[in-house]
Amino acid sequence: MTPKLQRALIAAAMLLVLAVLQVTIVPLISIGGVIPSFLLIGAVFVSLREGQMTGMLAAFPAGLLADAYLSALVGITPLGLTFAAFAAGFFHDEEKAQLLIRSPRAVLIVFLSALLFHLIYVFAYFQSLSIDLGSIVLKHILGASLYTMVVSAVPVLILSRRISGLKV
Amino acid sequence: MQTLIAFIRVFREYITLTVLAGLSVILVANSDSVPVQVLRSFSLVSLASLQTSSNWVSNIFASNQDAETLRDVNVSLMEEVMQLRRLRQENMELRRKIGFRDRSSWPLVPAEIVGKNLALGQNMITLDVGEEDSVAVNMPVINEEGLVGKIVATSGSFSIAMLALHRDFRATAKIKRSRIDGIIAWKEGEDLVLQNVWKTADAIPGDTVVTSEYSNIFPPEVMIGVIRTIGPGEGGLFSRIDVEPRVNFASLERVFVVRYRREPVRAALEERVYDQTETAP
Repeated sequence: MTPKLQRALIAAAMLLVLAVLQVTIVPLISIGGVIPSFLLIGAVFVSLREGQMTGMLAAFPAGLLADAYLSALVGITPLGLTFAAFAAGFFHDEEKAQLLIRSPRAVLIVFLSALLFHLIYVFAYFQSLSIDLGSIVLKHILGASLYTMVVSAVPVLILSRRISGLKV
Repeated sequence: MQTLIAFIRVFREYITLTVLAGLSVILVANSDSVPVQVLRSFSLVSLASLQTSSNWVSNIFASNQDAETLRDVNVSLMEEVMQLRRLRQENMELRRKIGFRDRSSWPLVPAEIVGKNLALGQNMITLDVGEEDSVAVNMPVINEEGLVGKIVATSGSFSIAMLALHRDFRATAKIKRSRIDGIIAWKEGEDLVLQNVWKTADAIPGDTVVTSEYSNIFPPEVMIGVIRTIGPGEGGLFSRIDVEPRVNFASLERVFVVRYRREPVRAALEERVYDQTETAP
């Protein structure tokens, strides 16, 4: 098994664990019905580190597992995650990947990917309802994306503390 | 052939994105298909027990508040029970007089909510009862305040219920006072809307909305909520009736699954007649 494949499998397993946390632990830290997406943070980090292909392939089954458990429409989360991982993958740089996931830029990329993810998710989910667009954008898109971005700062901070021992 | 391989190699990310997005769309379109239901059962079995064990964290904070609320509820329930006993006596007497058939009360299965997904409008809950407790798909879920939702998936010892605040939830309902029929659906946030009610129908804010006897899933006269506002609906023929649900969905912890099934004879008759009507030239 090549090291790249090994890393991809570890990434896929990590995202499956995050899918479990997403449906079990994350609802406990909801603020006014808004929750962060651990799955998205994981998918973006995998894309930044391993590239678009690995990011998309690892995010899809994890999104599917989360949807199958507590969602009426199975398929929306994998759809949003795949696009978010694809978009985040544009920032992937083989040589600087280790530095990137430890920098504040990673948090910003998580925010942008979260915006894309929540846009796809919310409009796919609410498309047949005549409900107030303003509240959707504020609460479900901006609110959830900001919360996800704030949470994503935690792994970035943890990783950045280990930068002294890093050799790129 | 080599050109094709080179093309795939160059655009492999885009091809993967297209394939995965296509797969997702197919899954969304077939959310009720058998393979998706199998996947649901698998995730229900594997994740529901994990979620049960993680719930102790939230329960620590909830129990003290619970005890206080329950004491207050207990006092008001005692008063209500006294009043209901008197009304029951009166009701039985009247029924006997006008020859009403006795309606059996439906057996209830008490259930605890072990998982909740109220984010992003999903509004589904996981219950700690399943097929082993004779819980089946489409059984109504209620609590002491009124209609909560209906069961949409079951496994051996767990089940998933769709709340009334779900985008796909519909129930035939009626205004208790004027007996006007309509369809209850989710509006947005924590509000419901009573649809298909004519503008000229007798409805006023404050009217109580209950489930209708025409429903195939819900027993009649289950409390849904109270009419908050009435306005002009789309198209000009119908009213837009906003209903405030009686159930507080945010603090929902325990519910009852009603082992209610439509009378088989009635179901068979309706299916037979409606099928004939549909196939008639």
